[in-house]
Amino acid sequence: MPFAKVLVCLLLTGATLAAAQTSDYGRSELGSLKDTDALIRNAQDHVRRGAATSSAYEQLGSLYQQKGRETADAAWFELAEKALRQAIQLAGDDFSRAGPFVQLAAVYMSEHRFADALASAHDAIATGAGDADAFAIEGDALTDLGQYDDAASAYRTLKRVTSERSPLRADYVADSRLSYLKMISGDMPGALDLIKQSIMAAAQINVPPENLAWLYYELGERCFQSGDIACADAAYSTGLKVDPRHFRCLAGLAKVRAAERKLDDSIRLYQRSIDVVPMPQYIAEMADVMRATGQMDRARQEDDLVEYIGKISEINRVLNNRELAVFYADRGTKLDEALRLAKAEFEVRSDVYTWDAMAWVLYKRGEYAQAKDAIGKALRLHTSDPMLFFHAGMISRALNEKQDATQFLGKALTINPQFHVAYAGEARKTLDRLQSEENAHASR
Amino acid sequence: MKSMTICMVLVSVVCACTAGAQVTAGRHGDPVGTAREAVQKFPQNASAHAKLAAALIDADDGPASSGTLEEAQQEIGLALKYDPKNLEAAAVECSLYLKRHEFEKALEAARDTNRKIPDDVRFYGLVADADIELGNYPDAEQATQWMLNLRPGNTPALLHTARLREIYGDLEGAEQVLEQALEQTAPFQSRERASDAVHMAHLAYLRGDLDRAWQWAERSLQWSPGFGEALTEEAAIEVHRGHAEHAVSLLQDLYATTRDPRYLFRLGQALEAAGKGAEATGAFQQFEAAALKASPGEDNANRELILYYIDVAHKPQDALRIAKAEASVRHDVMTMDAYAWALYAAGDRSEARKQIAQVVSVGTKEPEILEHQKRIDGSSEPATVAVRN
Repeated sequence: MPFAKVLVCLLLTGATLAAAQTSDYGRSELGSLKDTDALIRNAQDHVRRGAATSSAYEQLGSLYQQKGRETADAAWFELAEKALRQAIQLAGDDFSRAGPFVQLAAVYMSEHRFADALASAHDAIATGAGDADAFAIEGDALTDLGQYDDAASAYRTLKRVTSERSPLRADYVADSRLSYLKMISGDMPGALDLIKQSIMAAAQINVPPENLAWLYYELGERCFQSGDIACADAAYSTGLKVDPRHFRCLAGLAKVRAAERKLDDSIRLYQRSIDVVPMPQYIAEMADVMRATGQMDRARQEDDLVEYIGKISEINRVLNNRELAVFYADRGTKLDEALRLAKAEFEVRSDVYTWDAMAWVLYKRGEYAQAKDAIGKALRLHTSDPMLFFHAGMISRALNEKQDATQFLGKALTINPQFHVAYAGEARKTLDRLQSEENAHASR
Repeated sequence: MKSMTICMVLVSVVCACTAGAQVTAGRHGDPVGTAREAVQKFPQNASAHAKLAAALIDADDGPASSGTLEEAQQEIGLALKYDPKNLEAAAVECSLYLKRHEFEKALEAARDTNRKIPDDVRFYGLVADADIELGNYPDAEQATQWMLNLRPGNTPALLHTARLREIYGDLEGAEQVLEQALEQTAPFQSRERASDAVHMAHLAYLRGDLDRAWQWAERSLQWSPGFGEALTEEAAIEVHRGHAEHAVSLLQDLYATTRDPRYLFRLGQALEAAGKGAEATGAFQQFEAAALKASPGEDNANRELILYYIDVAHKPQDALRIAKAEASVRHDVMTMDAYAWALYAAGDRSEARKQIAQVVSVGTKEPEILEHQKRIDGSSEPATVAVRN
């Protein structure tokens, strides 16, 4: 999972740090939630009392960033940026500049300013310090920018640089990222191997429970995408044993229960996940499950909540462009707004899922030719994701390209017959209709 | 004497010392201008003056930018005036000594700071730089190892490692670490990338893989169009491929742009290889005049001048005089090879054998050096016959 995705969950109002996903850039252990304000006060005093050194500003910057994660208030990120810029100004012309540059890159990732994050990571690399975190962020930013080959190259450097210090840590930090790239390129077995390797390494080096749980979540995602529901179930469950409040694993398990048509269990698990961190994506998924159980009013209430969270703050508006665009497209409402959001997302990233979001919005707006072009770009790397194939199938169907529609929808269902609580059924029905039309045509 | 060695070394020094300036200005084009602005804004800030000095040293490109190093010296003085213990200024001062070929002074200054601050990677790098120029390879190796121990994987340490491995004759090992260094170079560091790539080209050339050498030289030129070291490498490759005419054309263009006498010498050699004796003689004469003019300065063509006096002009005593002067300030393999070759040409075969034996014992695979060794060790003919290369 690219770093930006990880951070989305950290930027929601009311999200608690304890449960939120932290990055593995090695700078997350700054104390518990309630300590952050005190730590900020101390760091500010330290700077005010005359210790206006680069490292003092770097520390202050990372605390502001932490506070931003906790509160989803973009003002903290702005403060973090200012403090880190000051740290860079004050740093000597040596390796000490790498740290604040890396921190600054992480702040930009938090704000979905991927191009800026990339530039800052490159500044860190240019110091010559060989800072592994710089290569991690470089790869993450490139992934979000859709520059997958360059991202893979950055991750290989990350792995080599980290290996020189700790081969196991190298497997942990690099393989999990490379696994995502394998998945994007359609090599699901390779993706599974790498994420398992990463889990083994992480367990051996004793990473914090939340980080290990995140890897199990990633394994669960790969398993689910490839249709291995039992594997997904085991992965999410193990993640929850490691970290019982891991909201992503809770949501993953909820998705598994929905696939098993245990819809009440699914809703309960989604609710537990949302209680920890109210991720719009999971609220929307829960609403889908509620609809499947006929709870239309509750589903509508949850939809309202998705919209509210998506717009509650400036930073959330930036961070949730894509999720909200897909949400509106899924619901078939506010399609002009959905298009605006999808376009806005392209200003900051252009990975395959941004193309997919654009394709889905265009399809819902009836702009099928443009939708076909967009989904073609989403599928250019042969990503083995049933949802992408479902979208492609529906677009082909709308264009009356029946053979393509049959192939895409068939592929989505072959990979995972229960890939979505509502869309798996829709794919099946559409395929049946296509078959009937084909039969009718043949009999004429 | 300016050779590829010093270019590589300075790149690594610059990487360690002026990374910040490049970071600020690398994408924005004018490191000196940016540093000047900072000095104007903070006239009593030692770090600002040190950064300006570093940018000036970095920007110095021989006679064309005369006065640059003097200004750098003044800026270092100001930095140390405002903060006598400023480490940036101390580091930049060392790199200024290196740039001026004051290697002993550079080593002394770097070691002095290194003793006081033994965990600063920069000063190990500067010690290694000076030691390489002085031919103290084991000491350079030790300093480089410290760089790696203190901060595994840092890029300047990788560059030093590559350089030392090349000197020791471990060409594949040098390529390996150099590729790592290249991977660790940011995309906007075009000049650093170009420099690393031309080093890769040279390593491939030394291994006899001319196609690979050409590819790397081309890549270097993509990153830094018109890069002199890359064009020189291409010219050398072309001569070896039997395409001397193309080498001539490359070097003519290069000299027309840079007016650097070193290229004129290589042009003379390429013209000879192309069978254009008269034109070669003209180029060599022009070279001698230009090289003699540049000879006392730090940005000289003394190695080429020594080779010229031996191989072309048959003035071995003139060659020996310059070679002795060079050997009095530095003892790297290229310098000591030139000295040995000059001794041989001047008839002192016994000392020549001793000197060349020391040079090759390091492990270098430089073809010119190996050729000289072959001639010095293998020939019992009078030196005057042997000198024509």
